[in-house]
Amino acid sequence: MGARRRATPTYIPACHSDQAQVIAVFAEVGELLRRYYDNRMQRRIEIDRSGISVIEDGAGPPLLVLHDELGDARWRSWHAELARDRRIIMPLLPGFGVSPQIEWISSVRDLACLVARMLREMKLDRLDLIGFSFGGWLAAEMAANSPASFGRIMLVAPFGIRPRAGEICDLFLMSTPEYMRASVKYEASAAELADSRAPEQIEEARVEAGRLAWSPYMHNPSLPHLLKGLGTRMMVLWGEDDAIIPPGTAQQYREIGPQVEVATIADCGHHPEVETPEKFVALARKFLTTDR
Amino acid sequence: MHIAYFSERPYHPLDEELTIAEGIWGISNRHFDPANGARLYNEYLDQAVRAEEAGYDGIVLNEHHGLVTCMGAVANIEAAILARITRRCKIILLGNLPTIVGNPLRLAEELAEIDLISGGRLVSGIVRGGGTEQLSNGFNPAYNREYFLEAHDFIIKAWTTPGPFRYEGKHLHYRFVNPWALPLQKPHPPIWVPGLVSPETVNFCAERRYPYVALSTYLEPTIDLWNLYCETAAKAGYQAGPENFGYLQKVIVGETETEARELAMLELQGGRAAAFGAIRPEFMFPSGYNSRDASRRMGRQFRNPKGGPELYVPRGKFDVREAKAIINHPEQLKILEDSYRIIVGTPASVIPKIRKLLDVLRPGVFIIRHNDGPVDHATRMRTIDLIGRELLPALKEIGEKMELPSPFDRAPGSRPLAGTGKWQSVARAEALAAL
Repeated sequence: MGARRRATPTYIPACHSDQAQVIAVFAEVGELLRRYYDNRMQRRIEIDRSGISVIEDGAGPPLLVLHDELGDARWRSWHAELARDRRIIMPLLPGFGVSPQIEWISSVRDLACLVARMLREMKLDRLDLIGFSFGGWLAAEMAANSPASFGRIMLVAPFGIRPRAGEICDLFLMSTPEYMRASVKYEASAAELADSRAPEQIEEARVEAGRLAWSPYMHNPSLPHLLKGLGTRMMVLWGEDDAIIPPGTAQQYREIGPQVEVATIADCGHHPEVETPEKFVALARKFLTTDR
Repeated sequence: MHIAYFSERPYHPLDEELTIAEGIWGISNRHFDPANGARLYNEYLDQAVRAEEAGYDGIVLNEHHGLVTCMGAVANIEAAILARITRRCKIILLGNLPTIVGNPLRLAEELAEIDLISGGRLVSGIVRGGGTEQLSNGFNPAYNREYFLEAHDFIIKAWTTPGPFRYEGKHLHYRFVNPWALPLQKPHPPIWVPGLVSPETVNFCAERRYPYVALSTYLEPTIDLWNLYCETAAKAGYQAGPENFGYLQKVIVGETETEARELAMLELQGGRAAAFGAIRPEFMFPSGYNSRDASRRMGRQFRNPKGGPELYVPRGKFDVREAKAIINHPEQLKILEDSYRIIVGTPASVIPKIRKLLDVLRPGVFIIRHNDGPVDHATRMRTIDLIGRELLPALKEIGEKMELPSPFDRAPGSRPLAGTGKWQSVARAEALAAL
């Protein structure tokens, strides 16, 4: 009888159980995180009584890197490539799985001001900046707040501006694995996105992204107006098969001014840095080193 | 013991395969037939009136949004009608969702009106709402709990502090609070809070001496949480008793065992009996909705402690007919019965089972959840009468013999703590072992 009962499972419909791993007993973060960041050097920058962990590596002019909405700051091949002649500074944004949440931050603009404050503490100024997805939005907010603080800004498939055609894919109506699959064109890249991270860490990032960007969803209506006429050099990079933000949105960034260049990559989804790291590195290096 | 009537007021008929494929939440409202909806709302009100006539002490109403298993989307409307057309029953809202109303002052006014119209029979339950409620109404789940807490405090203040006054909180900002109509019950209507094992909710209740109503949760984690309640109550300086606890139990009765089983099998249809298992986890528990601790407990709660079946995870392509066969397998009913998630039988055969349950949990409030399957109006009315005739008198007697005072018999939080400062468990874990 017992055996037969086990053979009659309780029902969960469709492929609906991806998230079960997250709502069930969570994995402890410690060991996984150490492996995840490859034991890379971390600094803690104190802001009031909170600490923001920062991954730093490489030598050369500083390059600020802002991670995506799932807190994905894994050290990858493209980091290593760019770190050959740049000092990469990658804050693990508060509330996104490693650095503790800062409760008084309640919008992406607040977060942008916090990162600016962190840069003041680190005595960094006139630095270059790359932001991915949610981090791209954050980078754009920082540029709008304080354009003189940055040399070159590269936005990779950024949130922040509402698409004129189509909609931003709703992360909160799908499970994390579904979202990862939607984020890239080919399944193999989804595995790379998910690789070795603790479900609990990803879930915390989801929570914080939702807390800050629930409504209006993943954009700020004032941002395009505040970016107009920005003098800073900017590159907007988009995968032509991006299923998270309609790739046509890239063209809206041209309205900021003539200093914005738009580049697209064919046969690529929302994460060019993961899906085609060589192309991404070539474009980034060219943008970061060439004078106009 | 206070015995209350409850049904989720399901929408039916609806193609079962459609519900399975699209989910009981998320299914498109193009399948809603207004003429059928109009009939159902009126039938459910008639059934609530019949429950009062049958001898129930209270009628419980709930609300969900976009859920085909629950027609109540604005419970206050049904409560307001029942306030006028019933005479004696408590009207118990489990509960209201301030996050969704978006204006807790308006909620305070609505509840005051219901209390006044009913002659002071309202039991207000202010709740966080399930995850789908946040998604259905665009509310940020990350702020659910703190908004709920703030709205709760504000509503109590609006009811009890003479206005006008200014309120400036984190989420709520009112510069002129002065609702004219205030509740009849003083200082305010009783508040009960239903829950699905969030420890934060249990502590919230214990600190405020509010009865906590467990919604058909597995018995083992329920005992744990009631012990947590007792512990927190002791810290607040009192001994909890049955008056601090309620339990909602699905009881399906028929004139014969065969009829009861046929009705119970309908509970399984469309995945309803899988309850929250039938909703995608990311809808039921959206990011930010639960604390880490609650998520861990949740993982336990939805696992049968008796080591029952594993979750059904389709390996290949989802097959609706395969799922339907699994859902409606008679073994499913057996699993639910074995873990006390459903009690099925004639009034005579369910009495000993309910007695055992009451002996374990010792709640002062017992809510009987009636048919939630696609059951016609005449059968529902007939089974309400049957329960009134043959079950309720027996349960009242059991409640008295077991000394299970309701929150109306004894004020929750009025029991002094023993001189040693130690709390006593209300639930009887040893009785569970004997089950």
